[in-house]
Amino acid sequence: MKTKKWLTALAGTAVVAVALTGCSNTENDTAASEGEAAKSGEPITLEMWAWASNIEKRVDAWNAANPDVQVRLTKPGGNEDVPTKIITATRAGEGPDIAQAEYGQLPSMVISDVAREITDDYAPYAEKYAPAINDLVTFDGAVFGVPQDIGPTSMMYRHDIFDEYGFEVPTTWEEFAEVAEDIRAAGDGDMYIANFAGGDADLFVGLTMQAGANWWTVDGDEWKVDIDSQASRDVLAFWQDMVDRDLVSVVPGGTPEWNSMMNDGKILTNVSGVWAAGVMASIVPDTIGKWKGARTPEWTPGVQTVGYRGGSVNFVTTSSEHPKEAAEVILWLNASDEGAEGLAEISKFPAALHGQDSLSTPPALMPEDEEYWPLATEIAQDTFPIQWGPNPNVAFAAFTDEVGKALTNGTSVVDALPLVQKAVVDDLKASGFNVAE
Amino acid sequence: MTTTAQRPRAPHRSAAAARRRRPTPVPYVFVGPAAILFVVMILVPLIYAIYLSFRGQRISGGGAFGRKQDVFVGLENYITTFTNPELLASLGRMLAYSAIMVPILMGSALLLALLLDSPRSALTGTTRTAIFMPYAIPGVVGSLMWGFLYLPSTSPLHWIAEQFGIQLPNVLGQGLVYGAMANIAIWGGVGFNMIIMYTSLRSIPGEIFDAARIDGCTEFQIAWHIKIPFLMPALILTGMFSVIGALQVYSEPITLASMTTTIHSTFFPLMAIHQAAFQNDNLNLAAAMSVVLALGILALSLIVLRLSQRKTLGEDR
Repeated sequence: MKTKKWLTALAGTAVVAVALTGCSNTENDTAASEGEAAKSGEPITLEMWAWASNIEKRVDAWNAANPDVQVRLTKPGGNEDVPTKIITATRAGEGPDIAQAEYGQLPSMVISDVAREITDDYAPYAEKYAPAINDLVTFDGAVFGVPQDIGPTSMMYRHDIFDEYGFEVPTTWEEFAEVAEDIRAAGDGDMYIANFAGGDADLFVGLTMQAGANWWTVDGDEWKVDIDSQASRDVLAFWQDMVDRDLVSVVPGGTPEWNSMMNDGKILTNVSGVWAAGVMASIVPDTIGKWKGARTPEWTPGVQTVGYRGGSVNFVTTSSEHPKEAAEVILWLNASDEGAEGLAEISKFPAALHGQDSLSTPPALMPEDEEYWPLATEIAQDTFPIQWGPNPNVAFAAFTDEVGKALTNGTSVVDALPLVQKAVVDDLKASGFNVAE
Repeated sequence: MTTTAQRPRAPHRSAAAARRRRPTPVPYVFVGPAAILFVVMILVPLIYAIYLSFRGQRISGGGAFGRKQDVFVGLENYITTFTNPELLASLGRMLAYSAIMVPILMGSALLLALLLDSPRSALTGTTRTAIFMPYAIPGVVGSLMWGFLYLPSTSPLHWIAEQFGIQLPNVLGQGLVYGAMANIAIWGGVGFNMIIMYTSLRSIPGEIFDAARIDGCTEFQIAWHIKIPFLMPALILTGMFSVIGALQVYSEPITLASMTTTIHSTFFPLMAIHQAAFQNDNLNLAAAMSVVLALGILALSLIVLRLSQRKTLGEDR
């Protein structure tokens, strides 16, 4: 019976240890940033966490010009877990001075008391942005972030294959479905107009916005959640119909399977943010030069207004010991004319209007499409104002799971909407928000 | 991280030393490192997790953009844990997975150990190493590799089958996905379990086998009547590790989840805990879920251990 005791102890120990790793991980991740309290006169170093591709080039430019305020960039991998990492680190007083967040993540940064108010610093730069963009970083009249890039939704399509078979580039979703049929009938029958990556909640927020949905709205001090709205149902029903008729492929986005289908010319369009052309080149290198940009198909013919997909801001954290300097850095990086031009140079679609005008080199994916950036700039002028709620992370996770389940079980993806709605409302209530019924 | 992350330690020699009359500091020095590690790495985090599980981030001051504050919420997190149907469903999936994975893992490890130990087997050293090798490959790497083999569009197996006009099923689809995950865990864990059993087999005195053979035992009868009963302690040990490993399944599903919609983000309990902590920014709920899961596994482990000891070791006495 001797073995029993140590076995039990060992077993219990191992169990608890593994179950708890979830809670102890974050403590290690922040070890690198120790607030270097600068004595006056000495150069200070600001910690910055940002995942944007090539942003290090812009940070280097700042560092070269500002020996007294150096920025040390850390690139957290991916951006799914990053918001929580920033929140946890900042609560522990070990966060960076500057961080990056998607527009949808900024409200939770404000509510978690992680983003610092920069209203006064921002005021002179407000005119650099379209009013709808300023609204994205303004909460209860206070500004909490500096917009970096934006992603009005657009479509890119394989112009070589469209030309070869004489497909029309669809301008409405109705036409989109018609062209989809033509594409299925053409060639070897292995081409699809698009892929329905059901889990891509971020994209579907934008697409349902285009149809008139507003997932979150503020009414006084109450939140109104309208994810399960007629507009959302229409959009998902449209895609469900495309899935049912085998007019779109159904593979999870960003997977090796999706990559190979995109590369092999099996998927002929991609609806995403205008920035996608900048990052797709490395994913589908075989198709460089074969894509062109176009507007997202319209729901109501003649109404070109679209929603957003992606885009992000920089903000100063509440744990920063040098908030003034940190704000200066992010205003220079994103809002100043010099900074906005620099963002254009690294293939971002800058949120600042000046930066949009300075985009001259076509994106890497379509090096000959001189029309791409001018079109993107035009699209950007006609976007819906968007209100992000405090918990898009909950909405996105629930959306991905429920749509995935529906696809797996063969039930309608429209049925996912009430479940997502419930998950979001429950989470808001549990956190203590007032939620309008 | 697969089935058998913990290697067995040598059992304590005897408790007799501790019971001697004159107390000396020696035993405390010996037990010191383990005790310190236990307190710092296990006890303190455990107590902190329990503390966290009774707290929560709540909006104060009202308003649509009020600030979250850390407050005491009593049993709220535990109530959420027990009333969340998705978490209960994930527990069910975990048990289903364990029911598939553990018997096959144990069975094949035992079979391989017995085969290697049989007097007529050749190339035992090479075979042993080959079977053990996957255990040295990190679970995530193994899962990625298997994932590429599973995905119809990237799998060479699917391609070969297609050349012969055969359509292989998508093993990442519903139903088969449990087998797909179990396969990775078994592939990774069978070598480790086999080595434990094999080593234990080698320590059985040879005279017993000689006696059995003189009595006319076949190799199969020797395996069934002598080797397996002798193996019982090793079987219980590896079985225990396998059960615990199965209940903590994480790296296989989380790696495969990015390749298929079949595995959603709360498919297994540890995935649900990770999601609560790192996507939904609810460390407190994650802590409560962890505590519940840890207690559940501990209770289950004790039950399994007690039952198996009563059945097997008990008879030897």
